[in-house]
Amino acid sequence: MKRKLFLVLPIVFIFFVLACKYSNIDLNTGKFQGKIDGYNLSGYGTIDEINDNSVLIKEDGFYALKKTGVTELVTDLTVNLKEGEGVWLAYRCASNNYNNHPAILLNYSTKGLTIEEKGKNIINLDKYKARINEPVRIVFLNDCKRYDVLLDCDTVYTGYTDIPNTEYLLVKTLPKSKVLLTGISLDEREEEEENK
Amino acid sequence: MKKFLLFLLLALMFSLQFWGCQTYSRTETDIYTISELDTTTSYIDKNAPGNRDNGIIFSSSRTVQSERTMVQRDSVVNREYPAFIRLGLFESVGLIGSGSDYAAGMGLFGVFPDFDNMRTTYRGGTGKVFSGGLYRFGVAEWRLRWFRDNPNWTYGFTGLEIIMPDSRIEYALASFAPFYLRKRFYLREEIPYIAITGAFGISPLPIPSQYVNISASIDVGSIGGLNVRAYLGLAGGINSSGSYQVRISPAFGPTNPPKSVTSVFPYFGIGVSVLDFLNRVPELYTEWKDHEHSSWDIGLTQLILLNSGASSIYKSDTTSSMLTGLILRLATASVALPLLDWKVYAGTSLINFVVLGENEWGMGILPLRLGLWQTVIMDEMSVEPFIEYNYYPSEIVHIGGRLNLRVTEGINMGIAAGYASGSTVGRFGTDMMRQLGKQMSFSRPYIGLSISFFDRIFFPEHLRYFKNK
Repeated sequence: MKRKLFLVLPIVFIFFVLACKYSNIDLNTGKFQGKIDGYNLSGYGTIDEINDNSVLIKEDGFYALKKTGVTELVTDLTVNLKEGEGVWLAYRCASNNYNNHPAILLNYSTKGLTIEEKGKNIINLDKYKARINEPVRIVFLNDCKRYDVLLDCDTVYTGYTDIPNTEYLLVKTLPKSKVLLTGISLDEREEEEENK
Repeated sequence: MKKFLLFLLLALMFSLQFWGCQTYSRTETDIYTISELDTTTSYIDKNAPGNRDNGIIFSSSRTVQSERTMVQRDSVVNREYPAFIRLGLFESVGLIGSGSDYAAGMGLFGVFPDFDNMRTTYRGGTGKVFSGGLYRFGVAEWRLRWFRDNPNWTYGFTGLEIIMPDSRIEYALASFAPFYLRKRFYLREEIPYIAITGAFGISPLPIPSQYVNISASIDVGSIGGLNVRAYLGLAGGINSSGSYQVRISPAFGPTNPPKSVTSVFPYFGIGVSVLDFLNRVPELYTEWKDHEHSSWDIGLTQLILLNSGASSIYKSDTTSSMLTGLILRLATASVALPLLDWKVYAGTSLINFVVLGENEWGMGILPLRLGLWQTVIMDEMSVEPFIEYNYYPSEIVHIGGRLNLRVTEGINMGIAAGYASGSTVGRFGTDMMRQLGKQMSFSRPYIGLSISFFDRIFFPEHLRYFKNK
């Protein structure tokens, strides 16, 4: 009986140690451009890294993407809504105090695309609706004060803002939603031109 | 002995593996690129001397130059946050009901033992309330985000944990770096916090002990690093025949060879912890500089090198010496009270040595200290007159004052003066008295130099009571 206990306790312990998991994920961009840092801002089990270069964000998932030192960002990702309403994307913000930070927000949902700046609604684009299992490429181009939002190959909005450029892209699922992000690329503006 | 040292080394390395993946502080560095567009418009009139007809045929000589420049600059922000839920130096719990026939009598909180009985051969007795003790040295907990971010789960380790149900050492469970899983239910979410905590602990390695410990506790704190807890728990495990506790136990000898001992006992306990800091999850996202503090001073070591006119402890001959003794406080907190604009404080230390000279000394455990904290120069200098009562094991009344100069955030220097009156009191036992010196009454003034290490003095700007003033 005692011998069994000797064996059982280390096994139980190992089970707990395996739960000690880092909350940041390195994403491989596959372009010799260094890795993208991904930070899980929500609980364990809400974010799954798939094939080293894509991320599945489940319900209540909150994910921050960052390429250290790059602020003149061109963020390019393919959003595939698997379940639910859609996804919330925040640009020109930081992971610190992310709920209250002034930012440019894109709400891409089954009701359409809305763009907000510093909490104010800028535009509603009902034409661009998210659909289940229909991947859409979302590109956000930062160019000093100007920014462009591209859906697939259409420039759907061009705006000007005083919000400083930052390194971050924050992604959060809308309630009861599950989203797959693939083809993630965070390039500096010039890099992006060269890659074309 | 070599095996024991090897075990210590392995246990240390093993625990570092886990401590390495977590740290005390978390740093975030963000870059904000600020773009500024600037347009300079120049109007230049190149007028030739003399008159000139300007009309329909001749255009104006005025030229306009517009130059547009863009300036981009990076603003780099470093933010420091705490990375831990709990970080503590020492926790002690006096256990009740864990072994009535062999009760060790560890006293309230487990820190007021009968020093005369502090030997491995002591087998206890009846009629003592606190039969055993639970001691933790170095406690660390980090946030555990599981069950879809279910709040207030933590995991962590204790540097060294000893759970002794009674005086029989072979039944004491001990472990280096036992793993603990805890869940807190907060009843009060303001400082000092009140929480009900469920804990599951496991010591997986067979030496010194292999055990599990399940407990529930009501926790009050932390304030100034001080916490009070009431525990209800069940501990059970095995001390193998090669474990240290079994080998030194008087229960085994040449006629009765050592064998493994199973130790299972329920317990109820009341405990205290010092330099033990607790953060709620929102505080993990509050920068260190914005954290709320409730104490004027929290420190690990405060030392006063003094002259009281008594015969010196530093010299064995009769020649006079500039220094005769010392006052040493370990694990000290001075918590601000809502009196006289929060200048009055209540303080204590885990251990307080008052040594005025050879044979004129005493020791206090968790003494009661009441003082007045006055900032003289903001961020640099403060004075603290105080009165202190040491009640166990020595009885000493101590009135004094210190002038503190902050050298760095963790080192302070100053001068101190005071008057201490009391007696050693023979609670130390004859063996200890022989080592420490004679038992004596004393009353003497003193003056000395103070130096403190890992001791942080707070100023009004740091205290939460003055944040909105």
